[in-house]
Amino acid sequence: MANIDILQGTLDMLILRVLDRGDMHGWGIAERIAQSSTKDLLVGEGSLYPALYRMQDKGWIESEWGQSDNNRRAKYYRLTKAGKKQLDTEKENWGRLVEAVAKVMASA
Amino acid sequence: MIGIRQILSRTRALFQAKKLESDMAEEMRLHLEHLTRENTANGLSPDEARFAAQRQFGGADQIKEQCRDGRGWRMVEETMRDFRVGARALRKSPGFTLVALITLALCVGANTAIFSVIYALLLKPLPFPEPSRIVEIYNLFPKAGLPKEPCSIIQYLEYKNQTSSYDAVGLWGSSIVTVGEEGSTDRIMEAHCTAEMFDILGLEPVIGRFFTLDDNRPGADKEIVLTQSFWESHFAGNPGFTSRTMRIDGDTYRIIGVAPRAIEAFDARAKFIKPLAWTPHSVSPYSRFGLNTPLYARLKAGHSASGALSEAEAVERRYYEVAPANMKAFLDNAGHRMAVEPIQAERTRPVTPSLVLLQGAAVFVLLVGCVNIANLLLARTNSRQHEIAVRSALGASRGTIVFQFMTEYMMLTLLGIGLGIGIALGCLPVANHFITKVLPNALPVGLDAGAFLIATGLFVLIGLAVGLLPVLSILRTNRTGGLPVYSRVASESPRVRLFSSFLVTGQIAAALVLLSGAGLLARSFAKAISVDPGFESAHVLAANIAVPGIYRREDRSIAFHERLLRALNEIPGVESAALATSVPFRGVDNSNPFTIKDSTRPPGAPQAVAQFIGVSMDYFRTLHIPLLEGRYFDQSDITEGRNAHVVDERFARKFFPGRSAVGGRFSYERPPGAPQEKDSDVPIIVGVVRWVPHNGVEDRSDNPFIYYPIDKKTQDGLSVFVRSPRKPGDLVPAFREKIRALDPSIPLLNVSTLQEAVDGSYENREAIMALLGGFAALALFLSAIGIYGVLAYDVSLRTREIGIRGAIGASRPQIMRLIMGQAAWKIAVGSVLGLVSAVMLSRYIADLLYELSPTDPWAYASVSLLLVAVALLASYLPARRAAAIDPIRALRTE
Repeated sequence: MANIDILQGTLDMLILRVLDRGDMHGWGIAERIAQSSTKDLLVGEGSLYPALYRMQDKGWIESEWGQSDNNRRAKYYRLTKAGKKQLDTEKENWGRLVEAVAKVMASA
Repeated sequence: MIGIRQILSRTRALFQAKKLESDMAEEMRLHLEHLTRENTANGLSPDEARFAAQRQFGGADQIKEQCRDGRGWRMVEETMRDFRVGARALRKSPGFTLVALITLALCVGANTAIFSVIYALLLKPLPFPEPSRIVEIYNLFPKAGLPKEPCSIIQYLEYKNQTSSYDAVGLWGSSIVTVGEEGSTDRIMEAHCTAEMFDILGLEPVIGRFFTLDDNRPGADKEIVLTQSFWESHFAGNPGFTSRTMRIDGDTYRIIGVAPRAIEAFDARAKFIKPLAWTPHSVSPYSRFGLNTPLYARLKAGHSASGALSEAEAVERRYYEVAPANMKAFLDNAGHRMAVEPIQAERTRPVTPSLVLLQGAAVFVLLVGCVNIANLLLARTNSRQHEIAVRSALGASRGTIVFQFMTEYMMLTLLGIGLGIGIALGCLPVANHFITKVLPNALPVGLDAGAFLIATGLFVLIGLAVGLLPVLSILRTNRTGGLPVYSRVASESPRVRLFSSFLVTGQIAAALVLLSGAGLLARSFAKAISVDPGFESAHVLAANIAVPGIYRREDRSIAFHERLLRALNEIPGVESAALATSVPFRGVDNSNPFTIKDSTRPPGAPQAVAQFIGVSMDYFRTLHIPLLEGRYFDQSDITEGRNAHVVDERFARKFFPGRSAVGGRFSYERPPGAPQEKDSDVPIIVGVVRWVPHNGVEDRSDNPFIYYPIDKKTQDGLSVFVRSPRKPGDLVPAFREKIRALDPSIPLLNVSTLQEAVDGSYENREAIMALLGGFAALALFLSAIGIYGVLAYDVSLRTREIGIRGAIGASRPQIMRLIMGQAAWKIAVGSVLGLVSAVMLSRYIADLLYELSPTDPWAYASVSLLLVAVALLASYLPARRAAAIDPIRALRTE
């Protein structure tokens, strides 16, 4: 089955959600999203890194070099306070969007 | 929206660009490594695994680029890149860069230096609370040819008690005193004032206290207030000094406080301030016009100087009503009136016209310089049309190109401004040398932060305007955006050519205005220095000495003068020695009214005033001042008890027209009610000598000089002269030794030759002339470069056209005429415009001219000739190059 295109704007939310569970490096985030969605959602590196840099600029996440599980160097991203707040907002918006879309799809 | 945190992180990103870049590259590489490992784990060979990973990852550089976008401030980063590209472009054309930089630096330097002076002296408010309310009150006697005269104690008391315009009225004078124990020769400047001055200036003591009005009476405790710099330099800023004493002119004074630094902006020379005390004698009505101390006041809030002036006139009228008849006559004849002026304008009055003139001139130089820069940029931008076309073709927007060009140009401008400000800083000490001469009370000028910001801001704005014009005008003509096939023949559009012709014409006009000003000043300088000084300045050494208090007593001064002269005559090689109250060309400040005996003055004639100079018997012989009539002073004047005086030729001509002045008598204006003079005391004229411009040739008062025997009065200071055929420099040690042998406590000051005194009096005129001349030369040079540059560039663009002309038979002279003709009309129009403007502006320079009409035809004719000659030479060079173009080669290369 073909992958689903990630909806514009939802990538940030997915990344925030993944980081909410703990600090993670770039490819880890991509892997986690793929696993959780049973590979329905595949995040390309070309969208992942620009998104990470953008979110860092906005202050939602911060980064630090560290050691990965298999003892390799990796840059770890961490959620900031502002990021947690952003995740809450986006979650709520998302919920309303899904409901709204579902209503329209059901009624039409 | 951007938050503060974001700005911080982005700024940090700018400075850590390298680290962030390598971090990003590392992150990407690790990600690729990870993918490769995964692929290997899935069973691919290492090479295949790497390729697959790279395919999967996509274009790393594009990702990085998008990440950089996310990091923000891409614009700033691009600007920095523009700067790097710009620097490269500037380095690639060193000729253009150098010419533009030198032009900018000189224009900016000249303007900043003069503006700093104007800002510090005229614009920056004095450091006192509400300084515009502080005024000076003084007397004017316009019909007597006297300069501004300060006030007297009695005027101070009347203005203090009979006016309502002021919060406070006070006197402030200064003099040189000897400080230290007996025998000390330390001469320093002091100020003496009434206690209100501290309120007028709004000052609080740094430490201790100020004196009060109680101290302003004779016999009060002798107390002084130090200035802060003197306190710091002589007492190391030690606060425990207040009970200490200081010996001043033999009296002991107690130090009571320190005045803040602000006071030095009012009187830069005074080291300490003592109370001004007066004797009952000085408040007698007769001494009302014994004017010697400046009077200041602080206007009440809401009161104007003009209101205070009418009040002052009322005070004077009240006095006039009750004044004795001869005083009334004096006041009428001298045209007495008062003036009340804000102190800043009043203090800077002597320099304001010159400064405004110089700033005007500097602005003209800037205009000429800007034209050159604009023309250089027009040519440079035009010659980069190919580059512009290539860039457009590669997708650069017009904005990007303009931005790139402007960045390059602004770098040049900023560098030029920086250099210029450096030049200005270097010039300030020279400016200060002249300022302290003309305004001894002004503090030295530094580059003030305010002046710096104003100047730099203005230059950047001007720079932007000058740079944007050519760049935009070129871009507008380059709408097609295609690559011109023959880039070198891409000729300028008519619009650009018209614009640059207009600029060159204006430049010539501006240069001619400056040259005219310089020409007028040069002619008038030549006139001034050719004035006959009336004596022989060669081989005369002059010096000033301060007379110690013990010799200032009437019974001792004559003997002191004799001993002094004897000592000077003993110096080997000295032909003669003399004493006087002043040195010629260094100024006399002793004007007194007088009346000629037995002559009826027509009613309403101006009050007769002369400058009085005390001289010893051999003065005229020592200075070689020629005798025109009668005789010099001689011994018989003393033995026969005659009150002999010698006058100069102007005196004789003015008061004894058509008859001999010798034997004529006159009397000093005496206070009414004073006892009648004995007949032998009435001054008698025994000789007439050549006129000597004691106040320098610029003195316009036209008042004559009267010489009286120096022994008549005791003097605080003397000028001594020795004439010797020996080199003046060889004489100085013996000179000093003799004075020291006479009395080691006599301070010897300003030892110089008489020639140096004469030359020194021309120094200010010379400086203004040299500056304006320098500006004019710079403008002329820049205009020549301008004409040359525009024509040379034009010729280079028209190589092909000229080649064709040559090929179809145009002779070399014809081609020369073609190019020169183009220049000629620009020069002609520019010169006419320049001459008209110069004549119109000349009235602003009239005050600085010595005996020269501001429309002096010789000055204008000579500078016009000079300008036309230089301009034609500048256009001849490109014309010759045009004529030398080989038609065959010109056509082939294109």
